[in-house]
Amino acid sequence: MVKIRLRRMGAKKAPFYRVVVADSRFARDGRFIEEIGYYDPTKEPSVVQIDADKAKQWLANGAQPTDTVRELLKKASVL
Amino acid sequence: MAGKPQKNLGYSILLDFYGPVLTEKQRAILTEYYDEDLSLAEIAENFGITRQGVRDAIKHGEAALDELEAKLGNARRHTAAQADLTRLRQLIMEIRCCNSGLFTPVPRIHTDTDEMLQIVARLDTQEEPDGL
Repeated sequence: MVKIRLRRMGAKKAPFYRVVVADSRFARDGRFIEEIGYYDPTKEPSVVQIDADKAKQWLANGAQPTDTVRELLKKASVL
Repeated sequence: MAGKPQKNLGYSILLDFYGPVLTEKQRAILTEYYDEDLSLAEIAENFGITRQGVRDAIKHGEAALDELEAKLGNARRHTAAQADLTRLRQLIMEIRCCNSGLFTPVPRIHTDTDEMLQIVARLDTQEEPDGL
């Protein structure tokens, strides 16, 4: 199954997340298919930047967002 | 909003501070849950344990992180210090700008604010001790 999930990047104590499309079979080794945005919770207010076209395309193709990503997609008015 | 409990990514930061105190397995599971955004089912498969086992490990881990933060407050203090440093940097830059906007800028202000910025940068990196 293809999933849309967050992946943490950034330094210690300064989290920063990429929104990535990844195959759930490779949930462990960090492989991902495409990066479609990012989420920066350290800013006030937090910054969500998502490529809406790509996100919609992946969703239309059956990609499953995690609950966390679903929230972000709502925030970014993709859902 | 479905009534589902939302992942609180704040635990990701607590994990940076107190991760080394947890058991290795607890830390690994919490890392997959928060930093890799994996589902309980995916983590269960990775570790060869049940979904319920993963849920329990996460709940226990979160409780441990909460307790450590309540007692030690490292994350809280770090956040406050970072905000202060950011503001301090802003103020220094404002002074520099005011000075360089003068008809005859004061050289001393320029060199002193330079040093101040260096000190702020140093404090910023000192804010990063590993673990506890």
